[in-house]
Amino acid sequence: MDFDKSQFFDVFYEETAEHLVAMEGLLLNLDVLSPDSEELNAIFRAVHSIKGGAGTFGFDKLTKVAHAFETVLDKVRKSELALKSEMVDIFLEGGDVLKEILEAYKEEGEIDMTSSIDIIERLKVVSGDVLKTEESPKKTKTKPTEKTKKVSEVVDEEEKDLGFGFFDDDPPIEDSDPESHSEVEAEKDPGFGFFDDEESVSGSSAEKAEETISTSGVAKTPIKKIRPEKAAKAQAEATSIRIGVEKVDQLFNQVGEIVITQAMLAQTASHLDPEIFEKLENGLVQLERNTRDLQESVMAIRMVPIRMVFSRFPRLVRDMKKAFKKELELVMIGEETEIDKGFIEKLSDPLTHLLRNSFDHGIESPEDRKAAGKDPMGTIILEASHQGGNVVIEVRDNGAGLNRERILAKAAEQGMSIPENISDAEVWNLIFAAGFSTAKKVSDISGRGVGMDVVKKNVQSMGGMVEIESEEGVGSRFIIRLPLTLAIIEGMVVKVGKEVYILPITSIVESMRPKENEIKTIMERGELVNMRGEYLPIVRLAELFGTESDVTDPTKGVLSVIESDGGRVAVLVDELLGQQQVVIKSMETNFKKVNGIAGATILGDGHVAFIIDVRAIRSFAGHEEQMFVG
Amino acid sequence: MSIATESVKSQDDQMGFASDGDQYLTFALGEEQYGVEILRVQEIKGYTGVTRIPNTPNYVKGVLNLRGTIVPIVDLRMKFGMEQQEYDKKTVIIVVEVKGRIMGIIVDAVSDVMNIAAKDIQPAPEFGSMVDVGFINGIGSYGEKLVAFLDIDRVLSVSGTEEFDVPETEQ
Repeated sequence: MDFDKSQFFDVFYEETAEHLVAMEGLLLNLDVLSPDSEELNAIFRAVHSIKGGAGTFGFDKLTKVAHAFETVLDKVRKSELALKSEMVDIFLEGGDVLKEILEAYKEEGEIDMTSSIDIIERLKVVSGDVLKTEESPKKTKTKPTEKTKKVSEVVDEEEKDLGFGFFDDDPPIEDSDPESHSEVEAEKDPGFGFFDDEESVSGSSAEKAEETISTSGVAKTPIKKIRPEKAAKAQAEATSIRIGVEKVDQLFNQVGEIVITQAMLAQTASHLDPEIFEKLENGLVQLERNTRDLQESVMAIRMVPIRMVFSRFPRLVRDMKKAFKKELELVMIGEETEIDKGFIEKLSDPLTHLLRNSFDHGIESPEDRKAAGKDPMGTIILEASHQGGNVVIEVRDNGAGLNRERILAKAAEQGMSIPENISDAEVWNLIFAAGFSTAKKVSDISGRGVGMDVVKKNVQSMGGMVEIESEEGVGSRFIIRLPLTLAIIEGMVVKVGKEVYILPITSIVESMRPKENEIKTIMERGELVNMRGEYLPIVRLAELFGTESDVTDPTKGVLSVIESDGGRVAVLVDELLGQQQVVIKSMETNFKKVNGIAGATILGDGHVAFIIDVRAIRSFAGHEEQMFVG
Repeated sequence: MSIATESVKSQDDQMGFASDGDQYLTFALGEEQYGVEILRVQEIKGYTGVTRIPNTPNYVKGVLNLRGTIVPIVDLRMKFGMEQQEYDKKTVIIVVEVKGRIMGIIVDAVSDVMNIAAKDIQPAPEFGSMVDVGFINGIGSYGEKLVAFLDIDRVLSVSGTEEFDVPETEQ
């Protein structure tokens, strides 16, 4: 029986993880003043489902925590207990504990119950004795400072002198988002203490309103607007089914096969007399359209909204704000942008890092921002969109921007070779080097210099690129470009003799036909091409792959400059045949890893073409260079 | 696996086919006959062009698109060090399953399907260092002809034997 159950464990883990993510999102969006009963019910249901599942499968430790959690939530949703922002904090932590226990069960590791016991205790305290919580020293201490903060964040230093009375009906306060206020980290500024009374009169403070359980109109309006959308979303989710990725991949392969067969039929029919075979031709045109639609539909199955990655960031920012004295707002745009399911997991790390980077290095302290004449509240925008055949994800902030001098100084310190007249874009690229960090002090969050290189590597492993744009004092932009799906890359089809290969477009810097005086040799063998002052080794693809080529003279062929891991080589091919999207097929499924080849694909005519492993080619060139030195 | 084979056998009995023994697909390389277990054969198709894989031994002819799957193809004559022959209309690719992988072998022509009992299979002869019979499980007779039964797993083993593992520094 145990064996039978275990096959459902994976589904349970996956579902529970989804419940936790959904719950966290709901908690972060929860309006403490006037919690939406539908949202509270959704949170309750999530915890209830976890508890139910955990009970069925005998995950007792999970059940225990979920049960304590559920008890409090039940009271809150029945309005027996008023929601407080501290409770949201505890709920979030509770979610973390559930996540930890889940992971531990999943990995079959040891489960540390201390955090569970702690959270159960705290949940009991909030649910059982409300008075006790309010009197606890911790709470009384934080409350006034939080209030203080609320004022300090909207008041500029200069405005302070204008008199405090005008804050009563100051529009910015009314407009400001109550949620972000309640989350703001406390800042100790004794001068602001007496604002407390002023604040409570205005009634715009989330904290204040919560005490009186008043529902301000300002807070209610945005929620009303969102509601119908949410209901629609919930309905859409309810009608989904869960299927294995391998089934989708199989479908994808079969459709790919139909596409090839269709192309073949079209080619054969093109020789026939169109007057006699008019019906056949019409049918083939129809078939072509249908197969293309079918292919798109199948590909769409693999696509999920990027919300699945983005959803974890509000929490991250909330925690960062708590830990550091910085004020910022996270704006997320394009959460419904669809990306390949395979990217979801892989995107999490690089985006987390970029976000932390922007928070730590980009956004200045409120004092610095005020001094620079900026809004003390920084903004980080996380935006996803489809652009052409790519998914573009941007992390941009209105912080200090990258510091050219500091990066150059650091690069020099690390012994990197820096060309003269280096452009800004090239300077920004230096931060992708391993072990590079300009952070003045190493913080808990970032600045250990193990980040940007990993970001770049991760993005490249997905077949994507990272770009940086930055302006000092204005902010920086990190742009990640990804192909639409993991299984498809944009490729440059190149010809070498009778063979056809695919070079991933993302790794091609440029392609050119060299002039004779640009080709140099070392020891009569090692060929180099002079690319605007930079000498790049030439790799003859034909020689590398032991095949014959029609072109032996580089000036009659094409040199494609490819880049990987920051290094460049020029690959000599006969000619470029064109650009197309290709479906990546693994060579390892039926054969083995072949040196210099990243995978295979099937061309329109049904033939197999190999996708070139750019990194391997670079290292081939490296070997040659070394041999020449030795 | 064994269950499946048995059910096939019992079916054969009922239908009056030669009982006892396993079924083999036999094919020709020149005048010689070879056999592979029929349960390992996925399909037989005419020879079509393949895409050569760089930096692999010459007997690995390349890869083929088999309904969306990339299938490596081995020329059995080359693998056995036999004389090369032009591919013609009779040349076929036998697609077999080897340890979960799908691979193809190029042979001169497909001959027949035969039943042979295990007791009728003789051990492979020994030629010392002259001829490597490591790929042959045993031999048997089929009418006038001698059939060599192949250990297809060994013929097409990807890992374990050095042949498929190409030295990196070939170029």
